[in-house]
Amino acid sequence: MNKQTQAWFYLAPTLLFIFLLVLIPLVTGISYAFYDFDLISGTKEFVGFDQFIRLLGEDEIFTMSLVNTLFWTVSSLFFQFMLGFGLALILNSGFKGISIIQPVLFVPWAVPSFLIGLMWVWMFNPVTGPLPYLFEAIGIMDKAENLLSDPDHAMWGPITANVWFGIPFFTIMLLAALRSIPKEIYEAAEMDGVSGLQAFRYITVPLIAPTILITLLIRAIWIANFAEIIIVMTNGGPANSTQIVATYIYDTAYQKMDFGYASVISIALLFLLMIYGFTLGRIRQKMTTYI
Amino acid sequence: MIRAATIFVFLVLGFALTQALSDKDHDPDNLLIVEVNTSPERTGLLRRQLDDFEEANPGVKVDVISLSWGQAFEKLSMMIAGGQYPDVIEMPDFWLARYVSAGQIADMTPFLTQADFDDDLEADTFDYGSIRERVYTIPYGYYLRAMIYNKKLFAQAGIEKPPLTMDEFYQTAAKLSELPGVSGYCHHGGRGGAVFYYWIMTTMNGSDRFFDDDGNSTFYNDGAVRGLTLIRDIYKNGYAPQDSLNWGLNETVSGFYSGTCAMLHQTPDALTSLSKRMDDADYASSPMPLGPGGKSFPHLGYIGWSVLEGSEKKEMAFKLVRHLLNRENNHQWAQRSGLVPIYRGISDDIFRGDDIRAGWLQTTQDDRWSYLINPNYLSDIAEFDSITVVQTGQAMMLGEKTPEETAKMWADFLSASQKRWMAENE
Amino acid sequence: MKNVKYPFIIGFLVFTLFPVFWMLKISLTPDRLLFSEGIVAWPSRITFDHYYAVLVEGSFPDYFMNSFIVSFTTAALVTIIAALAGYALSRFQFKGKLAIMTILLVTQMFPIVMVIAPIYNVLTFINLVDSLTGLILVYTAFNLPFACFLMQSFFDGAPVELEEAAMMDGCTRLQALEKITLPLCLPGIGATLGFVFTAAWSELLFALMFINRQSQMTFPAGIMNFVTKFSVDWGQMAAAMILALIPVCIFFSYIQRFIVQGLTAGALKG
Repeated sequence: MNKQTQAWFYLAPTLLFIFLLVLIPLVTGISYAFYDFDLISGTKEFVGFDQFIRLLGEDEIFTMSLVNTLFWTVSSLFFQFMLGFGLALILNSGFKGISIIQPVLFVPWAVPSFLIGLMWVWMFNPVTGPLPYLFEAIGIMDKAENLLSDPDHAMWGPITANVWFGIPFFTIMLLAALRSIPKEIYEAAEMDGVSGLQAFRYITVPLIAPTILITLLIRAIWIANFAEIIIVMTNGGPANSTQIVATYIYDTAYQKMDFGYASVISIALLFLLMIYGFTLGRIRQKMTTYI
Repeated sequence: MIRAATIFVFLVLGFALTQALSDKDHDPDNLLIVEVNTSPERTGLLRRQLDDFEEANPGVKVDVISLSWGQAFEKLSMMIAGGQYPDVIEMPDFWLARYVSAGQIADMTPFLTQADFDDDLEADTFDYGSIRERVYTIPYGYYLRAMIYNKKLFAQAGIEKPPLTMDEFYQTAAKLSELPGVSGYCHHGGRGGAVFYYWIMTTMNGSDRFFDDDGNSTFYNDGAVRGLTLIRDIYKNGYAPQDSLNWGLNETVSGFYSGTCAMLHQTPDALTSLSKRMDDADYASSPMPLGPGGKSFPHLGYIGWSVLEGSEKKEMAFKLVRHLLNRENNHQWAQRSGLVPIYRGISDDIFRGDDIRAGWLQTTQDDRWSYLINPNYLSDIAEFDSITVVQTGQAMMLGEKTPEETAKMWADFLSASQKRWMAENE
Repeated sequence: MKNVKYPFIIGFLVFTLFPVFWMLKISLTPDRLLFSEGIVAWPSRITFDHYYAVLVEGSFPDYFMNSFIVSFTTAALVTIIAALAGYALSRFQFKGKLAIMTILLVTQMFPIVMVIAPIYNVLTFINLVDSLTGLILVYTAFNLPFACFLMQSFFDGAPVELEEAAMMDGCTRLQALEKITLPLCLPGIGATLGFVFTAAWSELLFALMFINRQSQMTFPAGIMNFVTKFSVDWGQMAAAMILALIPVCIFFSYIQRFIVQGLTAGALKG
């Protein structure tokens, strides 16, 4: 068997699964964009690019939700990554009681997302949760009120929940990557008189860079598409202030039952995410040639 | 390690294959009924009534699928799109037009008539479930709105009786809000809240009509704008909780029993969850406040049973609908869910006797109250209620839009939709 | 570093555990006290009724069992299949590699709500709607792309030279993979297992859409039964959630050995 055939042999099971259960449905989903499609009656009428024109021409909510998506994704990703990386470094350095604390720190990742939403709704509600009083005490709120109904700051509610949920992801992935670096490299570096900070900058970061990039890439895509927490916590409100593209797609598909237009919005989101993915892919290529 | 892993993969795939080849779906000879407004207690009652049906019809079996309310719409449309047709489904009023216009609901007119039920049936029952004079669903009960109020908080604020007029409603809300940590009114600003706006707008208009004869919305009228201004002021002045802007059904109810707010605009089935958490002596109900014309139009919603066009056992399905709606079953059903039943005689039995249900009893018996029925025949009404009204209503409460602008925006949408419908049914 | 370490860890523990603690409190509070006591750190009276209701009266033991079967099978299946694919992507240069990686990535970019209906049709076609097996296959397919990337990045991190040396010594490629490279990648395998297990454990949307029968429900779908039109049974829901965290903690305590000690174990065997 030559190398070409071998590679396909290793890839075959993956491709089979993806083709049957992801790719076929995906193409079907995309094809909706060209139809006026009613799920309940099953009628499909070909409309070509009409719905794309509607999106670009007259959809204010889409533009608004695009800005919100950017804010939601960047803020969530930033805090998840920074805190998750920090935690991974600490866990990697080891300390007393780590084997007990470690599994506990991973708990949020295992909570179903709608429960996360409900849980944080409780925390932010002045009748049921302590957070409004905390905010009042430290002075970021004049009165103990519900953050989620303040249109100017409501987005921070779902972001907090999302950060809580997402930290363990980065921690697990980066910790596993850190653990894969052979100790000998650090020992050699130490003998050459390299300082701790330099070792971090020139050994640790480059070696775990592939993992960092792939997790950043995939997480950003997931967060941009992640609607459950927002649906549970604010349902896009008040007055669309937490409406992101993903929640808008959900509303369009399942409340308005307009699958055609929902698919158009999804394609727009797909397109933007592809640009992001492509950019990060290029960076990754450059970095791997570096090392 | 690799060998064990390979064996594992093949085992799982082999099992999947045997599953795929085996026929394990629900027995196609059985009837399939789907309930959407599910609660564990009610599912038990439904099962018992189905058991009776099975007993009365030897050889017939009925399977139940219970969907949870929040996702029922998505799930049901998915099943139908996937070609999995139940025989009987529970049909809320605001879905009806959608399913009927999609051609999925069987026309019951030839099979079920008022004569199949006794004379005591609420006169409009068949009308409510009809579109273009064909019967597509028969309601099993009415979700009528009244005002539930917290007696304890009323006493603390020194208020003796619930508000009878709109002015009193505003003043009562204001007075209650003077209590520390209490707001007067439990506003339902999130999904599902549209019918409150419709009540206040029509009641201030003094007419239960949504449209004039030419198809123009009555929301253009001054009364409608005054109604919206009233509720906007209640919120703006802090007579409703600040976060009620986003509240859904659940939050309004929990807001009420937690004592956060003291007046709740609700249907009688909410009482079941209140009774679990409050003492019966602490709350009561009254009819919705009257408008300037001395009349009020509380919203009446309904959920019924429909038979799907795709069902292959329609005869038996119609028989099942009739069984579920017979007097005795409807009595148990309405009692269990706390609904206004479809038989007038039973209504008295369910609502007479205590303060808690007094509001509904009076609403059903006093001429000053008549029912507001949503234009459920408009196929885009569900989406308008659950998205547009919620989003623009929130914007109005926050002061981003005036009540005038909001009323006009809603009126424009509804008029256009009504005129389209009139043109189609010329 | 030492000085900031402990305050940092404590901060994390508080941030992570406080909401969980709040749920624990709700699960132990009698229904009538839930809203009437205001914001207190602990209710004046506690009850185990909710736990009793969840464990004895409800179907939760079944739901947990279903969830465990689905999550465990999915995790194992995905890790095995993704290890093969990740290995191929890391070690071979071949035509179409970039295309495959792009496709894997693009599958993640399209919102899941848009593909539910088509997947439902595929499942109907292969007669696996309303069955745990169908759910396992769907979860496997949707977790594979990321798991492949992950495994690829871990194989990238494991030196090729050792493997090549083993092959020079007469090992076949598979033997070299098993003896040399896989042990080096144990942390990655552990992370993938843990990641997929929890993803499947907490997944709601597919479970809700593809499962109809009570007897086949997983725990997140079962927990939706507590949300009715008018009220949420907070106490029981919180109790179910707390109980659901226990198996995950156990699973992670087991998995973490791979993540933490993977390299040393590998070095010993090699």
